[in-house]
Amino acid sequence: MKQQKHDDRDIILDSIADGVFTVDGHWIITSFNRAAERITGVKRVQAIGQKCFDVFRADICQTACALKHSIETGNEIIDRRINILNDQGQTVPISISTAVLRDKNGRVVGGAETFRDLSDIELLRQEIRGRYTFEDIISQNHDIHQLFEILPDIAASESTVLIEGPTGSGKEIFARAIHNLSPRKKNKFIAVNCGALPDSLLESELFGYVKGAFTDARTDKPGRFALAQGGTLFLDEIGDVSPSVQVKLLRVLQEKQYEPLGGTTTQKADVRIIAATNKNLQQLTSLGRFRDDLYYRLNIVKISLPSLAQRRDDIVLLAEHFIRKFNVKKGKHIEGISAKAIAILMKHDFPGNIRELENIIEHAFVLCRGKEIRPEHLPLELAGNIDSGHLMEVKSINIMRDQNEAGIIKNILLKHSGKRSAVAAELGINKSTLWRKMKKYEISYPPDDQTEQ
Amino acid sequence: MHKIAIALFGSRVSPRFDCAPGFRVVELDNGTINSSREVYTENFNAAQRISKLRELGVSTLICGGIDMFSAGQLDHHGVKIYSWITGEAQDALECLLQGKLQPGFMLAAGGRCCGRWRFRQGRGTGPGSGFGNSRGGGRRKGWYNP
Repeated sequence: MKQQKHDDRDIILDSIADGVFTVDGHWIITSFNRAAERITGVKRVQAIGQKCFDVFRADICQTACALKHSIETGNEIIDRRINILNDQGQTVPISISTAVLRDKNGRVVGGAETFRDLSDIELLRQEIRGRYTFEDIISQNHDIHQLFEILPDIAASESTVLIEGPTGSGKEIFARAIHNLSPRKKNKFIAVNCGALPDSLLESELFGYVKGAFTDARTDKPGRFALAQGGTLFLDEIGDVSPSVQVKLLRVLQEKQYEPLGGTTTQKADVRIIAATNKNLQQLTSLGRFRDDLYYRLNIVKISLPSLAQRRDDIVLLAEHFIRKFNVKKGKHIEGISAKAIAILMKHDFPGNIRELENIIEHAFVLCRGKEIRPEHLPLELAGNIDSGHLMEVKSINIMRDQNEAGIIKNILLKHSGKRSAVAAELGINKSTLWRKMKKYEISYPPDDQTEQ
Repeated sequence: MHKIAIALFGSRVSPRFDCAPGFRVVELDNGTINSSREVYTENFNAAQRISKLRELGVSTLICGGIDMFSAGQLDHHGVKIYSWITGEAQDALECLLQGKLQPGFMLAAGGRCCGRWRFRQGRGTGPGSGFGNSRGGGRRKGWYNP
């Protein structure tokens, strides 16, 4: 009867699209619905019986638990925005509502919390606002992690930063991350692509103009320096700037002041400059195409970003990130990318770097109707890169690895006379993993040939 | 000399590295506890926590959940991470000193392991998952199947 009641309750809870869990008076989880499993990544069978904070892992659990507040005061909390940490180590923004559970005598017996995943909304909001922090930069690459280490110090300083890196390597995201980590984060981050504008237009864009400065200048127009006042100005493709604009930029950097086009009054520039280029500025100075005094003014702190080909270990991570992003943007539910498609990506040189990878995934989203991106969904020129020889190579590497592993297990089994616990301990795996591997490689102890003898 | 930090939530292992109000830092000398003290990290962001642990010379970390960024940074600095541990901090420490602790352990009273966290399909931050103690786990089914 009681079991039937529990089953009915689970069916009802599972039909709810939001995550729901309930706790008793000791913060032990008593029910956990399917949506809660999906959002947290924790299975119901594991969640039930555990302390709620060990399962939910919300940022408020340890300081301002909403459920505790509701149980203590009797006041419900509705739509409060917090974040939790899911099973993959990702921070998931959610909104929560809490309620108090009472028995038939009105005594408090626990609490219930419902929560809604806001990841999709937050992802789009971040895209629009461009408020990236360096924790949003996806990488497990050694060089990038070395940059992460110095980024907070760079951000805290007021120094001019020069970011060098090939096109599409994420220079603007790094610049935004520096700005959002700096004391200037409450003010604007203004980006200008210096290479995209002709000389005369760039000057008026940067410094603005006053009424009457030229034909059609009917009103004063503030430049990007004025707009970025108190904030950060990101000058992309600084290597493409003409010598005349270089002189003006040098003056702003030296004297922190400038005059708008046609203006007579000097304006103060309280702006931090972050410049970026895909060219070798030092080389350009030796060729006389870039002023060396400007180069030294810009090159106070230099960050060099590696190309995607130099950080191949990030390709899978980045591809998965773009799949998540396009799932939200395009309303699809693609779960991942096949091993063969990954092999193709790993072989590619990515001259367009991360931007090219993003475009490749977007292309695949157009063609993919299933749940997995496969080689046929990749652009033709890329799929043409892969020859059967390479696939064979990938396959044979896997076979070699398996053969190696099987050989090692066999040797250690012999060494310990088949004692599974000793073998598992030496291999640093648990007994059930050892059992699975023995089953996979069809290893038995004593060996089959020995038994036959 | 070997230093172990345990992310704390009261007397328990904190469920989140980036939200732990403090750490217990234990100094070991030849496998025995030489000293133990608590470091407060309330209002510290992830980067500040990592730099604090590095400043203290911590080489092993016991914590509950840990975000990918922190796990990657700590791994980069050679800190061995026992993540996704739940239970009493003292039990986790004793379990580690006995050489029995493994990532994902659910510790019951007395430090007995009463299970391991099993997560859904996909990359976890457990062993062999691409971050933390070992690299290259990549995509696979839950990292622990009983």
